[in-house]
Amino acid sequence: MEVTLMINGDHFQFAALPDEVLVDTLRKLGFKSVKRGCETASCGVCNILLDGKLVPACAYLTVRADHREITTLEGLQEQAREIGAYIIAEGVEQCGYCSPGHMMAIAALFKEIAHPTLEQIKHVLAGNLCRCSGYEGQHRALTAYLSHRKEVSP
Amino acid sequence: MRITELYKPMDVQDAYEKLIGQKKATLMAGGMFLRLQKRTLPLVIDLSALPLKGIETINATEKDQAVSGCERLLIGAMTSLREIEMHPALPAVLRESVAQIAGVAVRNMATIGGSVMGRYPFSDINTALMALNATLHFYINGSVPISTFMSEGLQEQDILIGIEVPTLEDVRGTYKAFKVVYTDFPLVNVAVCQWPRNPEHLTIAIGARPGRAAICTHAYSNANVNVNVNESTDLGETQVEALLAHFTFGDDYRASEAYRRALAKALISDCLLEVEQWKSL
Repeated sequence: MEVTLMINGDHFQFAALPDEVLVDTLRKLGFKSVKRGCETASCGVCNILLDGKLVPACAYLTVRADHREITTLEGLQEQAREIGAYIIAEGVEQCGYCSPGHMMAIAALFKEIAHPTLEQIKHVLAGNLCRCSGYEGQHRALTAYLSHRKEVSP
Repeated sequence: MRITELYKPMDVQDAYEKLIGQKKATLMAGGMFLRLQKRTLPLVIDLSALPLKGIETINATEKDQAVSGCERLLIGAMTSLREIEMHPALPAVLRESVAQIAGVAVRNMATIGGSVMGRYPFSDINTALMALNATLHFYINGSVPISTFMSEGLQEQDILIGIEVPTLEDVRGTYKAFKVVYTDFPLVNVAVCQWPRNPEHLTIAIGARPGRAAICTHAYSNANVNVNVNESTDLGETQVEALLAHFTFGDDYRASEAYRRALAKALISDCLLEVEQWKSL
């Protein structure tokens, strides 16, 4: 089936099988920030934005995304650098595999709520698993990032 | 899941004709559970382009007006669980029921229609809808009470168009579930609704009791019981036990019958404490 995707502002046109999922498509196209984890939409490492909404790429059929806008972490470099600085400062990352998924979830949350509370962040990040940590590092980093955001744009 | 052919209709009539026109055609709403199944689907009818999203206000039937008000809310079958979670006009019991279903990404894909049609015994939202006495609107079968659908299913193929629930003003409700982790399937869940026009009348639904392993073929394992309560709504322990006697519980690999019953007792007691607090509002 012919599919047209708008990924990070660029058009991609190609043939896709009816049961192909976005994680396979996006990785084939070079968007390696979209990781393959559980393949059951449970872990959050494959999170992308579809028309601005967070979805799991491992569960979303490519043909369903025809003519829709997809954003991966490669398309959020400025925001990723900003959040990433706080993640590095708090020593959050061990293997780093879950970080892109976490960042996409945070980016999606900020689209809905400009200044979320830590409880709201924890609620949103409930769909992102980290095998290395106890999530405290992520919460510290995001608390610090939230304070910075409030100072910059109250 | 493997798909041989995928068809994306633009209107419900087209979708219906395709559904009845081919044996083993499968409707895809959110597609979350279809994705997990190890089978090849000869034809999948993708409902994502149909105009079945969103929430609108409609006039209540005469029968519904006796219990709730003149207006009801019609939730399109393809409305995502995340939209339901975030919609301020929906009853709290419904919003609470979806808030801990997997993660936000999954809730952006999973739909209320897909959840209802699956008749999953572990469903959070179906328990809340049962307590709300929701009405299902089908393309061919018209209006069907959710309790009827959950116990009997459908006799013929059909497409769910919308789910009708009372407005925020016409019902008070609370939802509680026991989950091992935040976003897990519930071991047992409870929804309690009170109707301001008839405040001594509570509707109580208990789900995930657990139902039997063959989820797709067995009748929905939830039940709801309309309980007339005293002025004080102060149900002591024996009355909670009497209420629980209306429900059956069972064993599965996740929990025993006794454990589920004990959890349900605690959850119902918590719900009824909230009902007490509503009286002072």
